[in-house]
Amino acid sequence: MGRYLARRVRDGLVVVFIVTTVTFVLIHAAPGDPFSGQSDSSRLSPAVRAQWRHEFALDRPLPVQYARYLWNVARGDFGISFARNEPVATALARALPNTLLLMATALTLSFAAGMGIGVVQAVRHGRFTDRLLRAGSLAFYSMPDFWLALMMMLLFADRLRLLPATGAVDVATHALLSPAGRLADRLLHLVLPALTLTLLSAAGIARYQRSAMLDAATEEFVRTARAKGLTERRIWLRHILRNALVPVISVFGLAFPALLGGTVLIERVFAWPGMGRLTVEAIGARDYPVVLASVIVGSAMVVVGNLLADVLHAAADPRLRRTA
Amino acid sequence: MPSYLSRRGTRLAGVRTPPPARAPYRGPVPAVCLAIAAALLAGACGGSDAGRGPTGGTVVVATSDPDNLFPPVAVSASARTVMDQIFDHLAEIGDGLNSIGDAGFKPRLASSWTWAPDSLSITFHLDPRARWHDGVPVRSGDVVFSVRTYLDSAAGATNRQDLANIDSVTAPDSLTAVIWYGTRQPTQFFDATYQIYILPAHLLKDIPAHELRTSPFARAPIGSGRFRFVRWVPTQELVVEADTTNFRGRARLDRIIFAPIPDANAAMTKLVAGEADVYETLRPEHLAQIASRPEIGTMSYPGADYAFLQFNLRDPRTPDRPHPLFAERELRRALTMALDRRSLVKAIFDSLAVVSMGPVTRSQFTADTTLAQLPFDTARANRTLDSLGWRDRNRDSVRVRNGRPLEFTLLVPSVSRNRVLMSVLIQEQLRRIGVGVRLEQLEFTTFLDREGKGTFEAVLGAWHTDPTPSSIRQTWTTSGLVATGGSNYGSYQSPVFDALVDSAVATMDTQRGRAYYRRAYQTIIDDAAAIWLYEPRYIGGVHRRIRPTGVRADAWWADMADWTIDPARRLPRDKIGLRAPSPPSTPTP
Repeated sequence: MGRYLARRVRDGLVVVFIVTTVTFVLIHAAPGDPFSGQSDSSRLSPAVRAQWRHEFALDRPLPVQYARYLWNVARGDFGISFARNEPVATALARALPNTLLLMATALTLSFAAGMGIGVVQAVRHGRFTDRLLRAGSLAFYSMPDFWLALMMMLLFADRLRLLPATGAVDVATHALLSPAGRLADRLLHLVLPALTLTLLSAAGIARYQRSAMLDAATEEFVRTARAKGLTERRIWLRHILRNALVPVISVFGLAFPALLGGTVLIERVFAWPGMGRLTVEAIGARDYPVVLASVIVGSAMVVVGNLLADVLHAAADPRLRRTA
Repeated sequence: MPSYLSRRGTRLAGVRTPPPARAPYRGPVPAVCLAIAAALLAGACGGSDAGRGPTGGTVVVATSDPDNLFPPVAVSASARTVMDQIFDHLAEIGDGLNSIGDAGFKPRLASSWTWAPDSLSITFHLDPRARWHDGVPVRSGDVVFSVRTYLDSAAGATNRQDLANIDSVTAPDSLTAVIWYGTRQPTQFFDATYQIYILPAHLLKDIPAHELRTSPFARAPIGSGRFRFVRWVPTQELVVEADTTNFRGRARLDRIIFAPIPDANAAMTKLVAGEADVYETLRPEHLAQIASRPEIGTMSYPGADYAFLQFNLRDPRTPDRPHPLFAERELRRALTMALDRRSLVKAIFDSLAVVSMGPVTRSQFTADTTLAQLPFDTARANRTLDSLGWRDRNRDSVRVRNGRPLEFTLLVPSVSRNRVLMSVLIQEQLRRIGVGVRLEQLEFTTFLDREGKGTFEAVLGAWHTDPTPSSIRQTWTTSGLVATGGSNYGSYQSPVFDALVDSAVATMDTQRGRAYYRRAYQTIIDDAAAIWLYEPRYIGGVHRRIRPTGVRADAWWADMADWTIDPARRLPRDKIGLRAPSPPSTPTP
């Protein structure tokens, strides 16, 4: 198992390297200048632009820039953000925990809810509850993420005034709160973006879980269990559910990058100060160092997610442990 | 309608105006008068700019994130919004935004100034009460350092080319700074004041110029303004608080929190949900939502932007050759006459924009609404095109001349919803006179790239103007051609226009300057270098418990220090109060 993991980590590093290289070439090939300004009012003179390009070594040949970038990254230096004028590592250190918090919450909730709904649907297969949950999950599955986000915001922040609309904390009072109050404030701000992501992804997971459960329910070991006189509850939860976990764990590997992509829009709508928002703003501003660093972190997260899915696979299915 | 809306454009509250001149009283001063004066002075916080009204309260502004808080290099409007609270200029531009001479300018760090007889230098006398937020007095050495930093190419000041006329700066004594100029120019005073924020030399002088932009100071600045910096968590919040011992008086508000919200609809929701107090630019569709919210008012200001359809007079494929269509003046005039600009503006903006009158906005002192515009006259446009040989011979509704169809590609930035809508309506109106328009929507940075390189046939562009109208030299004259490092992307060239602008820029007389500018504007309008489309009128949403003052065309935030909050309607966040005044940690050089 250890050698298998080491091999996967090595492969993952190769993937990150390739993704970084392709992104480096693409972002530099994209039209637009990092110092053209982001509005009609703030265009820089060509002289100042040339000076800034020189300072950031953008006037050197692309291979030289690339080699220099790799050397710096190898030493843990992601450079200085063109648009924010601060070390990229600082921007990442600020944004990454927020995204991880949002993703971890959404992932946990969406798998808990999705698997729960899938189990209920499978157990109640063909009945009214199944049809109702199927229609509900299909509705959420079909919704555009930005639209659902705005609707959630309008409902809970504007109409009901139950939850804050945007941000990660209450900017006016957060600094004055006690540690417990700060935690509560942060959790309160987490609810809307996490809930939106959960609703969007739980629906898909529920459909996978339901279908995996129904497939497993037709297996011979289920008939054997029934012949042995086990209760239906025990059969569904101990035998069918456990065997239906393997395909759902595969979904976990896929859901991780999908959720990472999903947070981009959600973070923008809810003004959540995470990686998605950082990356989108950096792409718009042609902030090459931030884009590249975000891609490195994002691809590393995807690799780790897949690795985690493999480990969970092995934990759920002993046959995989032997072949690994 | 909130009470302050009706006062828009009138004299701004909280702004000091000089008292009328009268003969000084030379008799004995009654003791009771001295006692009253002493009492007033003691209670006046030592400042003369402090407006009247209650103090306290927190204003949350939904905005975008600043790029930097080191004034010479910050480029975003949101950075200026913050910097104007923290830093001071030597003098502040007046409400009329006059940029010729010093008329209308109000004292700031400089309590007075004198011009040299030959006008080649201006002596600024600093207010001895001025202090940096760390307690150190503001002295002439700070002025010297600031001007030199702006002029130092290593510091990379974004407006360095605008300050090219400044030759040097000296400090005869600790409260006097003299700025010397290469030539007499009408905008000398404007350049030394509006363009330059005064920086604390004692904190910055040991930092190499090229490192200032990324220094800790750029993220935690110390200024002399009526608000002092507290903290900045990028993408989350930027907080400034009242400087209670400021020489111009304590800000009426306790604090301003700038909260970056990237999505316009989310910002609007934050405003109506009561989490934000100010959202600076409402969209037309937001107005109905605002109307149903009694707790939200509006704040209207004219803005300083104008939008236009710019023709490229050079062939984008071979720039040394004229454009096959737009090099022809009469064709450009015909296209202008084919557009019903009034209906276009009405359809998209309703009352939130007016038809642009040329390369000038109504907020600039050279604006002249009597300029003769090319009329909307499709019959005349058709006749002109016919006379130029453009005919619809094959009845496919596109005119042709010598085998070349009369059609072109119009670049539009996809990020601007207004310009996208406008482009579709323009396409339809030009189709009616047999002109084909292909629309090409581009992401904004790509749009700027194509525009800046001149690789376009026509663009729906826009300019944000600063108060001085001389910026048209950079955007529309021969000296502003792209090849010379300017922003005249359409390569419009007219010796008459150039000469008039040169004369306007050089004259020290405001009336003559206006007259030159008027003739220059008329020339470029008659030449139809562009189709002047619209000037947006901005409306911001403001919580009604807040009473804004001094909403200036170029800076709605200009007098935020004098905004007040009705004590009877305060929210919990208004009652936080100020913490003990402790200066922010001094960045290590």
